[in-house]
Amino acid sequence: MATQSSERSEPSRTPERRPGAGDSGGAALTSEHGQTAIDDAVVAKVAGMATREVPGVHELGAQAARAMGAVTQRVGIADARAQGVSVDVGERQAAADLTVVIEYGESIPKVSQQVRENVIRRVEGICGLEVTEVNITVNDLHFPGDDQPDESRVE
Amino acid sequence: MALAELARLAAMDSHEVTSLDPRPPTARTAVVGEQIDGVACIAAPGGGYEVTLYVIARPVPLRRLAANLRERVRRSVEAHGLGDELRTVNVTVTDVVATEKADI
Repeated sequence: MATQSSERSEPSRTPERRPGAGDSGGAALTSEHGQTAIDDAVVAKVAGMATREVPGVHELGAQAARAMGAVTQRVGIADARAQGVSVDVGERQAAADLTVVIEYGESIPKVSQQVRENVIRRVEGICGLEVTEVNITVNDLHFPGDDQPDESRVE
Repeated sequence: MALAELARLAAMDSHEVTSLDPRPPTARTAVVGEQIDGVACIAAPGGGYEVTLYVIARPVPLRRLAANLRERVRRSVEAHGLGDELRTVNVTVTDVVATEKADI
């Protein structure tokens, strides 16, 4: 089952580098005392964690990515928290694309809005980056009982 | 070596840092027989050293954390009489490790 629902905001994709924006973390990126760098993977992970915090989100990532992620996480070369998350990070701004699976029965627009708000809050709060856009693709619904193995037809 | 060790100790003294990350290729300081992972110490033009910390942190405001680390390292180095050796302290956050609730 693949329900596609995409909510897109403004088309400007590339984060700009505007002086003064996104300083909620409290320190400038570069000062006479040294530089602060935050890896893109950190921003992706924060966005993924923020998405999972929202009730109604079951999982992140497209089906193939989830299957591949299950393998790569088992051998320790990937982190589930960044799965289904793609970020563009500038010096002071970031944009995120999320692919999520939502619990059946939840309002997709409502969950999407809560995800967007939480991602903005967390990325701005933790990484000190202004979030210019959060694009969400709902690519599946999770039904209660989906995780239970199929009963065998023969005993 | 002393600068790198002082920087490492100062960073690990912060409860918002879970560990230093040895994975980036430049993230170590080595002198014969000894190696400090997660800290790079590079001679600066004009004298002194530029210290870079590669940090795995808790999900706290990271820029503020970096400023705190910078200050901790500077204080520690000055307390050990090596203040003149230290030029800049760079902080690279390479990963965050989730706790139960992000502390913002």
